[in-house]
Amino acid sequence: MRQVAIYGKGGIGKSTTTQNLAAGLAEMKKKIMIVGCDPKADSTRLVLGGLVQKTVLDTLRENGEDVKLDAVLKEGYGDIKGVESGGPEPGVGCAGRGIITSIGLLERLGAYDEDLDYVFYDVLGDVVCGGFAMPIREGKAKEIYIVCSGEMMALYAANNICKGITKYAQRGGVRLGGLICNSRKVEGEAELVAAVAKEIGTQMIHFVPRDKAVTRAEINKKTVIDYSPEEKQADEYRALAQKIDDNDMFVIPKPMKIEKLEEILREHGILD
Amino acid sequence: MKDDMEEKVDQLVNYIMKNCLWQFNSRAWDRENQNEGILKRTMQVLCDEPVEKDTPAGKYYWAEAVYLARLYKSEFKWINDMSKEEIKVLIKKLKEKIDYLTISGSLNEELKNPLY
Amino acid sequence: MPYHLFKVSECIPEREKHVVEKGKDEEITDALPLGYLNTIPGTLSERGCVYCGAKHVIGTPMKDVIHMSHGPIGCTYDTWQTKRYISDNDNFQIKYTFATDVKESNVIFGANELLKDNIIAAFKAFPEIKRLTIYQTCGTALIGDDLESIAKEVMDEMPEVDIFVCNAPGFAGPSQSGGHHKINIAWVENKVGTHEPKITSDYTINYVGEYNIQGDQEVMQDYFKRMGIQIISTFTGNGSYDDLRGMHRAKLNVLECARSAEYICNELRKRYGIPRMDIDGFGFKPLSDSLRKIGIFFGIEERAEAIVKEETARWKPELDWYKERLKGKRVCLWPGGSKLWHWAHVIHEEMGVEVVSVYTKFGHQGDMEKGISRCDCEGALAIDDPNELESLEAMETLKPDVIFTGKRPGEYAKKIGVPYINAHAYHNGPYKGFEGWVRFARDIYNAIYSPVHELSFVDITKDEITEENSFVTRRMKSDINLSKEIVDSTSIREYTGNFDCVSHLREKSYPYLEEQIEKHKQMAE
Repeated sequence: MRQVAIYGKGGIGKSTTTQNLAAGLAEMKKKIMIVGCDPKADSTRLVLGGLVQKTVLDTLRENGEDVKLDAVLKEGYGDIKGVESGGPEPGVGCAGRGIITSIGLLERLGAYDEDLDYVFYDVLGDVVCGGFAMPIREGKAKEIYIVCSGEMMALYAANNICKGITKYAQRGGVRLGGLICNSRKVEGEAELVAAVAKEIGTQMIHFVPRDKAVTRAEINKKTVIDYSPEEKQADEYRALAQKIDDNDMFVIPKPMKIEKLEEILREHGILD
Repeated sequence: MKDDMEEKVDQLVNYIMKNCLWQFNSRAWDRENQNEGILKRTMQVLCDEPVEKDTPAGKYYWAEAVYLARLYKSEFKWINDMSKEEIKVLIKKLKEKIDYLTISGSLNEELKNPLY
Repeated sequence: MPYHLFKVSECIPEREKHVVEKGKDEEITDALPLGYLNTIPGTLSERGCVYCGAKHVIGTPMKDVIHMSHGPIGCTYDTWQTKRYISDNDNFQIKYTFATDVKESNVIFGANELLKDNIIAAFKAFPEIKRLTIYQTCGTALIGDDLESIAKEVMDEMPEVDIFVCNAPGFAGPSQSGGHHKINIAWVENKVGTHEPKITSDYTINYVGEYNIQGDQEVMQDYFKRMGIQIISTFTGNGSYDDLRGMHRAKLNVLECARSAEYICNELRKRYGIPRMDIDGFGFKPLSDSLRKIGIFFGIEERAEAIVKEETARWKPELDWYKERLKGKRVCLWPGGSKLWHWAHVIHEEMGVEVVSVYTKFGHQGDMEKGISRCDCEGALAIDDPNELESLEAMETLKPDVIFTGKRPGEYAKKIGVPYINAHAYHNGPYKGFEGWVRFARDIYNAIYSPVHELSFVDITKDEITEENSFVTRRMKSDINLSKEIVDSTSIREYTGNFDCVSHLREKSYPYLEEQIEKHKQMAE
């Protein structure tokens, strides 16, 4: 079982990329579970066709510890299993603690089936506190991919996430598998992201172009591979899936000093 | 050897440090106010001079001063034989020593904290 | 006055600056222990947390209030009923304790609603109580629960109630002292000035830093009332919530425990011009001095004098009976904060004991300045926030006959055969007032001369009972070295007061006070 955590700046397309990637792996007959670690609970809607299950934390709130696995775990496209942690409304409570509690509960309920090939954790935004690092603690995800684009803030965030990873990597076995560029059609984007990846000590594992097919599929609550399997964009996700399945480059990242990052951005004409 | 005056000042200082609490407010500026307000009035009481006690603070200092002066007169009989001039010198030296012990020489690191 | 490093703390060299040995002719300007600093790693402190200092020490003695901890149940249990601050309303505040019992899901989703439900439920359960205090704890502080807005919401819905919010989570300072500070400031900021007290005397005071331990406040209140003084509020022992909202109207703040409550006196002086008078309620001379000074301030000194005369005549012979038997006994004065200086000189002068060490758990350097100045014994060790091993080493080297401290160090002192008196919650208090001071002397006597330590070495199932190991009374132990003259003296006697010396005060009438009430009634008409 490979456990994989997906991080990246808010709004960069983590959930979309994760689910389309999962669909690609499912086509390869891999058994997959996606654990959404975002209070918005939108990490599994494309594979399940909307929010069909209860979130783990909602059931915890309503029924206490007496939670049944089938109430929170549903199967969708390609038999991909989907679970949503859920969490508090914005501005109250502690979403970080929610992730810790939720993953602990899933383990006790036996959600981590021996037969699974992949478990994906789709984690919101930055690693803002200990709770959001829960998926990469000892015994959980050993592989991390960061979704980014060629925009300045996305790369800042990626570099910042690497700082969080480094801490856990030195203590445990978690490694960075690469950056996934989810294109925003920035000029020279692939080169820039590849350069940043190289500086951090990793790779740009795939460049996913921007395509209207993604939006169309999303409106229909589906992944591209599910909604329009013949589209060129579907092949991009298949390629990403293949690269990740074959990946053998796992590193402890070397996050850059902010000056170095700015220098690279300047070289690529982003900061003027 | 300490001279007679020093010896006397020491006795008065010792009495305050042992029996009073007013010299140990928590901030330097308060200690300055307390030492000045109370010891000035103690001198005035001992010298039968008029004492300012119209404000609440003044009235409080006066109450402390009246009591301290009375105790000084009963504990240290020699004070009754002093002239007003001698008493003024005595209390001036007393205040200098109390100021030193509680403010300028104090090792209390909280005295300079700007807030209570 | 050199700094002192305990042998057991040689591996923690920072500790040296926390301990000072009082030398001859040396001043507090030569050396002063550090204080009120974060606990040093490796030296397990016996301090409490900030929440505990705010709630358990200062908040909860308020008597007509629902005191609600917003946090897990352990926080409230551990601050419930372990300190005996009684009240004249049937002890409502120590009979009941309230907590929102925050659980995992409350942490995740926020516990605002839980808090609101609990507040409303508590008011429903005790409809006669209209005041409530919320104490934040670590967990609810971390998740950022908005206590103020919940309090306001409830007050809008229930206009007859008033709620005070105390944001003093356990982690917000080095010790419980941080909590004393936070609740002092929060009260003066949010509640003082929101209620107008009824003035019924020309002589009005706030009695501050007094927690009615086993009735201390009521004993002192008796003296003030006998002088015709109206106590507008007591901060906080036996104190009433609304009275404390009217603190701004007093003419004088009479302050006992400056460690826990000088902040509010300082603020009241700054904001409302009310002078602060520090007093001692412990010991015949310091208490007499204090009452007289208050009398001078209000121009009613003869009333103070009458009390001093009457009480001294009644109780001095009993204090002296104990003094004869306590002379020269070595004591470690190891309280939390203020008793360090309240007691340091007067137990020597009035009970004849030698104070061989003073310490403070959570005091600041100002407390050490006072305590060291007052402590007479040359070579006495002044210790800030000792750990258990240091305390044990101090007891081994100083060989005290008794220590005055809290229940945690008290228990391990007992293990090495040293009796202890509870300096926080008392044994058989009250200890304030003239009679109270005799009760303290009696407790010390009972502790030092208890035959229990010898008896514990006799196994009656097999040991032969001889003259040496047979049961002895305290008198047999204490009087053996006294002259016949003292033993037979009729001018001194053992304590003759009642088991309960407080309840009867609640029924008393006070002519001077009634005269004042009548006068102010006429003025109002």
